Amino acid sequence: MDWILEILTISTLLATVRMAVPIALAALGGLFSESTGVINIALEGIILMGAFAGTIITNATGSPLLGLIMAVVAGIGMALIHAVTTVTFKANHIISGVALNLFATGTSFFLALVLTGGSQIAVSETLPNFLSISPVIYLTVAIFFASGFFLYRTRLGLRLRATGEHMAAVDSVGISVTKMRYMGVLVSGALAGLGGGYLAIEQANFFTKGMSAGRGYIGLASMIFGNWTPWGAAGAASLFGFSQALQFRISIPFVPDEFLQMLPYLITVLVLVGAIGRSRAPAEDGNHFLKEG
Amino acid sequence: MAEDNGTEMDPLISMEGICKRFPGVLANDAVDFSVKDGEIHALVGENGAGKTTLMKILYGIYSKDGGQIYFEDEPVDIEDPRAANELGIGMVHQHFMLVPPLSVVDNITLGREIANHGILDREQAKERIRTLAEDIGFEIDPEAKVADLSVGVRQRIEILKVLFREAEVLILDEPTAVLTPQEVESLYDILNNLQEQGKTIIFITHKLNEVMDLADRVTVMRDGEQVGTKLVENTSKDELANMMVGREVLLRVEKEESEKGNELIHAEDLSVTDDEGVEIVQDLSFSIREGEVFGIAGVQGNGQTELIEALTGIEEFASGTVEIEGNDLTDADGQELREEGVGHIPEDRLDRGLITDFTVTENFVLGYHTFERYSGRIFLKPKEMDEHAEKAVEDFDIKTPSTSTLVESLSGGNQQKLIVARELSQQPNLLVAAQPTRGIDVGAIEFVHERLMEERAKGKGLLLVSSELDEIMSLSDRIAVIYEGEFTAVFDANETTKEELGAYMTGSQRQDEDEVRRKALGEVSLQG
Amino acid sequence: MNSESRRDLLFNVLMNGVAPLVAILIAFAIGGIVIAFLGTNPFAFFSKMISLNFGSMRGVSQMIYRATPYFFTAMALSFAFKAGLFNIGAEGQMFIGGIAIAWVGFTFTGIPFPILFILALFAGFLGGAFWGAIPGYLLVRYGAHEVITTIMLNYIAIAMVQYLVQNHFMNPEWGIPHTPTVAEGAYAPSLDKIIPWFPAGTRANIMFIVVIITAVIALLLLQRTRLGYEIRATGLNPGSAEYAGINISSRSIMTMAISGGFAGMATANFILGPGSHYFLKSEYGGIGFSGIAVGLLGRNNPLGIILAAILFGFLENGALGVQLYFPNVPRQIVEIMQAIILIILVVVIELARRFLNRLQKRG
Repeated sequence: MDWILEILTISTLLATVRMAVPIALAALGGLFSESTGVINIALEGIILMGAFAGTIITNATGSPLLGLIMAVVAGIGMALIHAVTTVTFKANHIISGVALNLFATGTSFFLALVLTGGSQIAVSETLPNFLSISPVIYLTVAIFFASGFFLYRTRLGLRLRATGEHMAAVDSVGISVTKMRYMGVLVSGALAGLGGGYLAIEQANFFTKGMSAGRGYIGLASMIFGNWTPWGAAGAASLFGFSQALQFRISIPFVPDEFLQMLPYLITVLVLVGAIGRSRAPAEDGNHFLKEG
Repeated sequence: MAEDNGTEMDPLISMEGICKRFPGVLANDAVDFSVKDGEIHALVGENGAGKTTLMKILYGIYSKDGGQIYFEDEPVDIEDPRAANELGIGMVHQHFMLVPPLSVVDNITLGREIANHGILDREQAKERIRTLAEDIGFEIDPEAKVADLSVGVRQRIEILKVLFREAEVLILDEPTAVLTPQEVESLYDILNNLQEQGKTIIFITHKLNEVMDLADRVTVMRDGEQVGTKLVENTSKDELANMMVGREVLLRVEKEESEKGNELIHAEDLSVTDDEGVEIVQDLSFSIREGEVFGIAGVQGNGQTELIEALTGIEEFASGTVEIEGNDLTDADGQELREEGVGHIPEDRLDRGLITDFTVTENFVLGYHTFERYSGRIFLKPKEMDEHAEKAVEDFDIKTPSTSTLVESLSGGNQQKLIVARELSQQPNLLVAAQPTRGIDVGAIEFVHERLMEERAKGKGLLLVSSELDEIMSLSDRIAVIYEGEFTAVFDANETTKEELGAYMTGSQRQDEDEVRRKALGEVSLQG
Repeated sequence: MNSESRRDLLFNVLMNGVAPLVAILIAFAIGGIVIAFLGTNPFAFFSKMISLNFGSMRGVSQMIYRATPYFFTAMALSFAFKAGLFNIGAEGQMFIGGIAIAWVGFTFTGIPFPILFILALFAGFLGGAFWGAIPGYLLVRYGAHEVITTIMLNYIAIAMVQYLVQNHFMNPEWGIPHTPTVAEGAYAPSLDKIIPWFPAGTRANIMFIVVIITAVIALLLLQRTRLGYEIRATGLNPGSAEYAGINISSRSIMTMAISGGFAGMATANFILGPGSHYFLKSEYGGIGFSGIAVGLLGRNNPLGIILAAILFGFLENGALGVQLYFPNVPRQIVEIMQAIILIILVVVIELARRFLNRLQKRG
């Protein structure tokens, strides 16, 4: 029964928080996007591109800070494509997201090969830790607090949330649905990009093909389970962080490694199953705004 | 203009030669329209006449293709609702532009929020809202969630939204479409209060009673053109109806006495519950005979939709029994019910009756596609389907280029006719019709009413649910009022009035429970 | 031809013919630029690709061999689409189907061809159908969004299959984890045995014939049968389908199952066709996801999907072969081009739609 004691330790707690960060950032990103009614399945690919950009820039400049910033920029860039495709060109949100994910997978792998000749790239530097915790983790917590305040106590936050619930109403009072949606999607890109940068630079210390490994989708599931609120999403993300921490830190007797491997994904499915009825998406999620006359 | 229609003074707003085109239709054809300061002006016309389009142009939601708008004699360009707001023009839409999960204060202030450096000051906003509401004679809780509020209250919020933006001119689009007669009275009071405060009011309607009751002047539109402007005191409902349609209009359908035959459907103690187990329909009982029309009047949201969906097999009854021609069909699904001769004209043709990406033929067999004449065990019979569809298109005068046209190209009236054609072609014994003439033009309305009366004359039974009291009263033999899921009264259609029905519809009056049940089941005569 | 059907024809040609072609051309242009950046002449690169694929029957048959699995995974996406569902789980459904194919093949060794072949193929369909029905059921019963559940099941399937192969099916002495080989009765005959034009020893096999049969069956099913009518109704307007007495829950699950079944047959091309005759997980990665691009490129129509699959077969076969001549260019350029095709396609389709709407406004 030693394995139970192994689980309930500070180091597991720390591991949980570390694992949860990219998922939580993705979840919050998904939330920003969906609060304006745009489904962003592309979070998976954005995390990957953020991880890639962060790795390359950190190695090229020796500055992990610069790497993280570029990860955010890469995320915004990917999100911009999604925004243009879905908001301006009114393409189906899910198809655009899936397309971007395929694009990110192929492009990041291809560029890694071309630039370094291999599919795994080590990261040369990381940010200095405070209290053995990466500064990005503190940043993430601050971002969550700020997001809660922003969405529910500010004018812009109110307008964003209204857009995802009733686009025609928002338009009828003279607010630009397009602007609100672009804002929501770009913020989601920035957040997921940051998550990806953190994943590569701070958590794993390397970039490898397909390293996002479903975190974008798990982030969306966290958002759903958290009923489209920042703190709900954070809580759900922690749950997933915990299951991922388990996978890497312990072996439970009689349970094959592959089962632990699939645990986060299995939990995601169970979470979605359990979320019915308790969880409500923004009313305009996935809809396009068609301006008449 | 030789007639005195009150245009001697300079108008506050003048729209001249307004043109607006949509794909395939000229919605506004060189329309002139003017409003005087401080008047209540009604804009009437039947569905599709162009009235809403004109007002949406005035409010900046649509852009005009031609013409000019003058405000206080100055030419203006109203490009978007903000510009309209700046001129003091506000609009209360027919389909409320509210965000249900948000609070009253957030909804009213959206787009014009009271904030310090971007941070909302809800307290100040709430104060202002309370004051505005009191000024026109009602109370409101600014923190309530809009989703929890009734339709009548939501409309008041829309009005407050407009006043919050310091509107002097209020445009209301079909404001009474969803109100009970009592709520309409309240609205009249509010509008009169506003007029006393010096506001100018334009309201769009197709209900001539309201025009006569409320307006100072009225402008009539027909087929995108402005047909004339009159002082209300100088005109009559008949004259206006004539102008609206361009010919003599039958405002009531001719209904003969019909022979009532055997009992067709016998329903007892029906109840329907929602996901949380709350009873939406409670202990409803009724009976309909051959050749009889049983009308259900009520404000939308009192259980009619749920009752109909359970009767037609879309949802389930929690308890109770339904017997049709002696067979217990309480738990029958949509398939079985159709096989047993129950037809269904749904209240929402787009969400529940048609598939707009399907062709006319494919829609014509929708619901009946498993019937032998349209398909075998596995494969469909496209030739037979087309033949039957073509015959129906002819018989029911449905305007469509062909039966392979996608139904989304058809007008609302023709779409509804297609549904009526589909259901009647199957020769049902019992027809369940919900809002059968919603949103279609007068010609189509007349057509549908005629066909329904034909079925009645042929000895079929009809269950009619409608929020148009005129329709219920003119088509039904018996009328039951539904309130909070129960029948609270049953009347003989010839012996009641709209006011009486309205009183029961709002729950302020009820007949004795046992009496209602027996009258609904046809056990007791309705005279006296 | 009246103006109405002329408009419909224009719409069809534009959306289903021109748009994909434009997307392909743009993707090739961008790919060409990248290739030029890598110091290689793009025209030489692409013409080598063309001659490798079309210059000989050997090339054509290799192209068909590579194209075949993409048809099946694309059908998984497109068929589900008809019911309004997003099946992103072809990858997982393909793996589960694949393990089922292998298992039947190496377990029932006594049964002769063609029975064992048909059984194995059917097992693949069933395995994929099972894996597809799960998210269908979760959606209908619990409202769990099928995009996320199908993707999660991909990861779960990969882990499961790895576990099974490594711990139960493989012989521990083997270096690479793979299943035992399937019996001869399950072998898919190569095409040269049926159609003399194909060169001897080609890997293209009867699964391509299965592709064509499947496409025809799928089309018939959707357009001509009651079930197809109900599936399409469910996808286009679930509210009206419910009104019509159609059981949208069962139709949704059935559709997910059938589309999963399509994906389940994808690896038969490799396992039963000429080659190693065993299931090797590392060979099939990405075919499921690429199937999404193929399905969209084929405009969700079985015939279009065959053409799109051939294009992907062209790219893949070409990239493999062209490596010898142009070592500077990693073969992953093909993956990039596939992704670019997809993104551009999505945009081009919307542009085409707007263009048509503007035409309609004037008319």
